[in-house]
Amino acid sequence: MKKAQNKQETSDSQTPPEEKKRPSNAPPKATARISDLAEITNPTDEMVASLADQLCAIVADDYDIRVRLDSDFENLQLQKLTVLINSLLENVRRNIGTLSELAEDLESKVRERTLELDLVVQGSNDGVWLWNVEKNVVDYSKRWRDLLGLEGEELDTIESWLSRVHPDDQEKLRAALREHLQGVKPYLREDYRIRHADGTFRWMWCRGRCHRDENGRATFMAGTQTDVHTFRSIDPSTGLPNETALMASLRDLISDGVSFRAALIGIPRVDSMKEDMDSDELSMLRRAVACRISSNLPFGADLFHLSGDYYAAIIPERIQKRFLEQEVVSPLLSAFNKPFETSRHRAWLDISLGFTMPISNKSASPSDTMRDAWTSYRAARKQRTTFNVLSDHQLEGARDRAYIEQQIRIGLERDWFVPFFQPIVDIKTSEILGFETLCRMSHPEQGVIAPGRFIPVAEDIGVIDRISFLMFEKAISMLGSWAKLGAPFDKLFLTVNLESYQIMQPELPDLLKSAIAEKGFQPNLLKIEIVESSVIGNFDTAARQIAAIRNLGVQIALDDFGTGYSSLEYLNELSFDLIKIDRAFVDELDSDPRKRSMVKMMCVLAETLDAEVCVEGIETEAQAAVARELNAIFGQGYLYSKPVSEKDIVELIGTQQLQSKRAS
Amino acid sequence: MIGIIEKVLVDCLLEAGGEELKADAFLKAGIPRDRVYRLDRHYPDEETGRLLAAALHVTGLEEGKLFEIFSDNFLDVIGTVFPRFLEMASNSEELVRMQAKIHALIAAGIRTRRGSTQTTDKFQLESLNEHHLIVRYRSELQLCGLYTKLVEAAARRYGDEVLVEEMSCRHKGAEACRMSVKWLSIDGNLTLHSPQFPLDVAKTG
Repeated sequence: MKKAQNKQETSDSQTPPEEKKRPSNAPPKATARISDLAEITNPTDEMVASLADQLCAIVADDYDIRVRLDSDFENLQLQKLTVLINSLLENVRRNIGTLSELAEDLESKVRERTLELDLVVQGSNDGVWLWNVEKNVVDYSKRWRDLLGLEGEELDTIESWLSRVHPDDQEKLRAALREHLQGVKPYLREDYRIRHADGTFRWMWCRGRCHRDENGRATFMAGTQTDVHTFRSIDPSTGLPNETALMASLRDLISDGVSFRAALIGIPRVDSMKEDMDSDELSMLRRAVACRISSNLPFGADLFHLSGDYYAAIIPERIQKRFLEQEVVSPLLSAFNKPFETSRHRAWLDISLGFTMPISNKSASPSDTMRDAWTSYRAARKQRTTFNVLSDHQLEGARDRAYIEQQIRIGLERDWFVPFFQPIVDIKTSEILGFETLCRMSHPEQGVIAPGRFIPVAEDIGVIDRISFLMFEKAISMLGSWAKLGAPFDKLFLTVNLESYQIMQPELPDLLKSAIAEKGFQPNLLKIEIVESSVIGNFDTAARQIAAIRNLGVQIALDDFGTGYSSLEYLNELSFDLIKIDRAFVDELDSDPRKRSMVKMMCVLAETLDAEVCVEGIETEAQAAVARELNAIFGQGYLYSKPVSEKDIVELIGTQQLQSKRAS
Repeated sequence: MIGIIEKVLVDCLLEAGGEELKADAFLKAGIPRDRVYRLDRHYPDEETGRLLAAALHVTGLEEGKLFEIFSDNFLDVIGTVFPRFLEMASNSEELVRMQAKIHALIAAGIRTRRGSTQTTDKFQLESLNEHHLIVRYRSELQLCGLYTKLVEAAARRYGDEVLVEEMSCRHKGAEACRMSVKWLSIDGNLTLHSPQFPLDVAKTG
């Protein structure tokens, strides 16, 4: 074929024959007129003209013609030309036919596909949007507009959509769009609230994907918008609006400046009934509870289901504080006096309510409002009352508690928890024999925070074990340091408090054994203080652990003796080395004969059990005198010293040494 | 049948025996005396068949010989009227590969109106290995012998050497004729006109 192509190229590049024939110096041809040129002078011209005239039909896009030489004048070249023209026409006709068939086929497929897609979209009940990213033109389907009640509205840009999205969700949606357009995320998947034409916000779920050009730039983006308002805002188990709906309602009320009061409602006993009910029965009970609360709330109040057996109500501000009991609490209590019937049970349930103070400040927040409601509810439970209306005092306490909780978490990260040491003395000589390790929070701004302020919070939020273990580690280190210092420090003992959970840790004895070996102190200088409640409920394990610890030479002290559920059997079985009598018995010990008798009895009991006695909370010399008289061994309290920091111990011991020398 | 076939056949008769031989053949075939075959016309296969049979009769030639003469004349006409087709092919293999398309092109050029089924694509290349083709030919006239001679004539025209074997034939009951065309050597030196043209039919007969 190469040969043939070469021939073709050569032929094409040749100068037309007429040009070749005419010498360069020949005079120019006279300009012929059209009438002269158009004149037909021979049969060939006539046939060429006929062919050309027939071909004019293609101006009407008619390629279904065939040119024909009708003359009897035989001209092979014209016949050849006719054949080739007709062949060309035939090819054009065929190609047009093929293209038409393809177009029809494609149109048919597009129609079919469009119909299918329409059915899918209609079936899914979703709104559809198509965004020409380059032109920033968005085509919103009728359903998309209907979802928002925007029929007939001018909507043609992306802003028409985004500007209607709730201010709290706008940035999230814009970020999701950006991330997908930039190719960071493969799909757009986002939920958000959007303003309906009636002014309310509705939850929508949007999905989409973009088409990209060869450079990866997004050109088109299309997707759907699904109404998920019911799904997002209704709790299916009770049919009530859920927490999401509650927060949205609170936000709206606050921003509109409407006064109201929130209430947290709990049904405490359901939790204890779970074991006796299957899931169907429990669901039935919860639906009945929701229905009963809902139907007994005053007019204008809205009820929401939070989770489990907790509900929230928004109470209109017209019901003033003094009428809360009469208008809200009493009807509910009456309703709950009747039992709830399930398939297998009749259940009598309690109800507790915690009301917030009236909310009318636009700077309030939904989450703060609900936090206050929870605080009020907890106060009601703590006071064992049916309801509580939040007071300034409770609010202040709750805020302080929230603040302390925050500080505890920061303190754990920044090592703010430090040991303080309160001396334990020989009750007869007042000589310091050891110290109790106590925990303090050393706040960089507030100074030392008392344990009464943070220990209950630490217990509530479940970090007390962590703090306790920290103190334990530091006490062990302290004993190691004292062992290296030598006399008189290497004879001082330390007591350290361990929580029930820590006592029960199987690895505790091994841990202690390693620590003693590593730090090099006498094991009996470490006394672990436990409270009675640590062992009650899991006595066998506790007994095993205590025995294993005592086998190491470490001593066990029973702390706060007399305040718990002491059992003589437990005391006998567990073999304590030291019993610490709680400060509650020491107050007025010198003036109250009953307390004196009780402490005396405790001391006798300890002696019988072969345990030493330490009297805590001694603040006066008179109390100390009674303790001595009753044969206590150790004394502890402000009479001798308040808890001191690690560096103050050296000074304290030094002073004692000095006094001892002077005395001798 | 595309008119060029009849045109070449009539030319062969004229060359061999002049107007008289042509008139005998037309009479024998039942074709009007004044029939002028044209390149740009289609003629019924049945008429072509009659003309071929009459030509064999009036010339007294064996079919193979007549086809051989016809083939050389046909290629001469192609060289005269459509020289580009021959020039586009570097050798006879390329020409044979183009032949089906050329036939379809001419057939398309003489088709009359929409919906016409007068001319169909009679030739199909079934195997396209280098230097070896399997050609499927299906026509009511069953001129597989003519095709064989045309291929051989084309090879001669380019100085190539070709072996054509009929693998199956409609004359023997096959659905279509299938021919193996194998090029034994390729020279590719084209001679536009046959050296032995015109042949004296009377002498050969």
